[in-house]
Amino acid sequence: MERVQVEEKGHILVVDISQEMTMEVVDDLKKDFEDFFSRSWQVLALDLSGVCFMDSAGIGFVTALNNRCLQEGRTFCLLNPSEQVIKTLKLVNLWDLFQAHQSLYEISRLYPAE
Amino acid sequence: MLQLILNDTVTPCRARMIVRAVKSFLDTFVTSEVLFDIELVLTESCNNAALHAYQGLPGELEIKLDIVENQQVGLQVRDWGREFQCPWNLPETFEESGRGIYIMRQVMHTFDYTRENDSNVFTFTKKVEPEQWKECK
Repeated sequence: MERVQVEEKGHILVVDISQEMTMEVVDDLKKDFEDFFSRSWQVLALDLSGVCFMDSAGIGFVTALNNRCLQEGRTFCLLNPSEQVIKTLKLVNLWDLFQAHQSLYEISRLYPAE
Repeated sequence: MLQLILNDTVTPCRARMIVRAVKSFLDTFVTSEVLFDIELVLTESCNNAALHAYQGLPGELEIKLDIVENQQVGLQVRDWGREFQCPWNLPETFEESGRGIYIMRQVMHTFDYTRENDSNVFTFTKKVEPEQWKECK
C-alpha cells in the first residue's frame, strides 16, 4: 500500500497522507519527501484530511517540512487538516504557524504560479 | 476501581501497538474526547521509553491503568532504561522535537516523573466528567 498519494497540480505539489503520523511512520515519510523536494514545485500542500492521529514525532515532521520550505523559498501549507490534527497542533501552540486551507482552489488562488 | 496491568517489551515499532491494546480496553469506558487525550499521553510515554530510555533497543515496559468510574482515569508507565531528563518547557517554535512531555502535561490533570529503583515512572491522572463516561451495561 502506498504511504502517501502525490499529485502535481502545476506549481503545487499535493501530498495526501491518509494515515497516522506517528514515530513509527515518520522515518519512512522523510524518505518519501527527499524525493519530493528534488522536484520543481513552488507550493507544497500537505493534505491532512485523513490523518486521525498525530504524536510529537508527527508534529516534528510537519515543522521540519515547513522549515525546509522556508529555507528553500517555497510555500508550505496544510490542506483540510482533520479535527484531530488541529487539536494536536493547537495543543503545542503551533496552529498559528501554519497556513491552513480548506481547498486546493483556495491555495491556487492565494499562491498563483510565479 | 478497575485496574489493567500490561507488561510487554517495547521497541520503536511496537510502541504504537501497545498503545492500541490499552486504548481498545479503555474505549469501553470513556468517550472519544477523553480517549484521544489518553491515547496521546500513552503514545508519548511509550515513545519515550522506546527512544530515550532504551535508545531503540527492546526493553521492558509496564503500564497500569486505573479506572475510577465517574471520577478519573489514572495511568502509570514504567520502564527500566536510562534515566529520563525531562524537558519541562515547550521548545522554540521552529524546533523539530522535544514536545512530548509538554503534551503530556497539557492534556492530563496531574503529571509526575520519578526515578525509582533504576526505573523511570511516569504517573498521570485525568479527571473525567460524568457525561464523558460511556454507559456500561
